[in-house]
Amino acid sequence: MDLNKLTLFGLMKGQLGWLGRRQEVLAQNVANSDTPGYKPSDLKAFDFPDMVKRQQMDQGRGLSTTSPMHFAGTRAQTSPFAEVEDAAPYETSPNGNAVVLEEQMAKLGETQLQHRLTTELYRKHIGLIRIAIGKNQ
Amino acid sequence: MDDLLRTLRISASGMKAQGTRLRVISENVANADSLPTQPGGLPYQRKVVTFRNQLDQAIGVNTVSVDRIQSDQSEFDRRYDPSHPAADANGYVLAPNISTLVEMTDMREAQRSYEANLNVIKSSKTMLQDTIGLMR
Repeated sequence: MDLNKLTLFGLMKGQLGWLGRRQEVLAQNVANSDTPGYKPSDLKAFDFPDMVKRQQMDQGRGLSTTSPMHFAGTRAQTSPFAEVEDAAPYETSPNGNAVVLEEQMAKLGETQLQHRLTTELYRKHIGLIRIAIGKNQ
Repeated sequence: MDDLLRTLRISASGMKAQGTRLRVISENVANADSLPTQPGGLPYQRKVVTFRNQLDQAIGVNTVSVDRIQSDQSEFDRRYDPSHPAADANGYVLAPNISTLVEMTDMREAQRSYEANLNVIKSSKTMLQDTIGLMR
């Protein structure tokens, strides 16, 4: 049974990917909180129709091979999630840096909380399937 | 490489940069009284760190690194001390352009940024553990 074929699990997988990517973007912002001229960025909000569209677009890209001797070709892995620069930061310091640590930490906490929620939901649904399988398999 | 593992690398680069900054601050504080030894000599000149956003080719993300350690070009302090070997004809000695208060403020800032990076690592670690916990 492929769990990813169940809509719910596919969605959770997408959500976990998005959260991981967001964490990376936020870490970049925090690490550069003292770099002159650095503007923080964030990910576009996760929404399902967008995600499906992107996934359909992703399939069929890259080189196709007609012989087993062919190389598959290396394509730089692009993240399926769009990164946007923060257009209206809280404040910009005199050296052009627009990272506000408090704002980034709040976003980080939010990301962590959502991640926990998603993993707990995943566990719960696995539990449901376990119940369906029954105890004496 | 996984997004969350890359996060750890990025934060580590931030912590390393702040560590270098703290080292330079401690150099400044330690040398706050490094006076010249003869008339016309120059005292210790304050150093400042600048950061730079840098693309890490190996993992393909923007990390942070120390750009250059430059000298502070502001004017030297002057202290009246005729008995000092480096005193000029009027009895003044050039002193380093360091204000301990500024250094302490800078130190706090470095510490705060370091803690922020550390918290990102902690948060990412919790997320990784949650993911691993799915198998249990």
